[in-house]
Amino acid sequence: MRALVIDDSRAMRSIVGHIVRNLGFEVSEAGDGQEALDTMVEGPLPDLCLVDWNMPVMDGLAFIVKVRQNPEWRGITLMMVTAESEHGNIVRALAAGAHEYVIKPFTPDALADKLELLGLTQGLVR
Amino acid sequence: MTTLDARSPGDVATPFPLPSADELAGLLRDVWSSVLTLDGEALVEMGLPDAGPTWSTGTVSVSGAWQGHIVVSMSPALATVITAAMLALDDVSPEDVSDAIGELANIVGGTVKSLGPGPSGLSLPYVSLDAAVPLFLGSALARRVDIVCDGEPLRLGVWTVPEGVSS
Repeated sequence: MRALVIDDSRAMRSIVGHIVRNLGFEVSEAGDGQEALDTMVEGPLPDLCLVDWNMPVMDGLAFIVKVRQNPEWRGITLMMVTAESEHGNIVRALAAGAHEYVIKPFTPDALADKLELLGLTQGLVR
Repeated sequence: MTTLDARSPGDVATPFPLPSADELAGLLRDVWSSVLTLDGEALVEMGLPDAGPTWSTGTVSVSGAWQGHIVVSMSPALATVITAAMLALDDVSPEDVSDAIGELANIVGGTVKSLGPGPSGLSLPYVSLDAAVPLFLGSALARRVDIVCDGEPLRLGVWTVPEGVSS
């Protein structure tokens, strides 16, 4: 399975990428929402996008809205991974089409548990 | 050089009850153990000099239901340790440090922001390396926690626009 980690912080891409790589995902990265969309257009499509909220160029919420507008990308699981923890923002992200929401700081197990809830770790090593 | 109390200033009027110094220290320990996978118990509250050494500083600004800045400052040596932990590298560049400290400010700032009234937004982080801790005109340092981590200083400051003052 393929995961696309989208965060303007290289450090955070490293941390999240390491966690999902250890779960068996093939990982690619993007530094903002627009770069992620460009990557997805070129293919192959990821099964999972882990996306930060606050990013330059295109933020995570705008990215989620764009992905949901494309019927060919309907099967992609979208997980917001962000420091934005206000209840209102969580509701906004889920309403926009995010499947799950992980708040920084998080432990590797917390992220893995969320992926397991989404059924994305079946057959993968944990 | 005066060493201040580990917690100050406390007397600034704020638009909402700020997290206590204990809560801020606990927040840092959570970040240390979860994101950095370092020992959170290594963070010990201790008074630090107000001025003198240069600092590596990450700042995020809050706007909306409340306005302010959340500032994480540390010695350059500690900034390097944090960066190496986040990137799982032995050698890190100034660009790596800038990125890591910015993300640390983002994570800490996001949590502090959520403890205040909403809705409010968080800026992208801005970082300065090897410089004096920034001051924010029109804002007041409302809460500060000084920490020592394996002998290296770390400071978390929450600046707010005091009630009755327009930013």
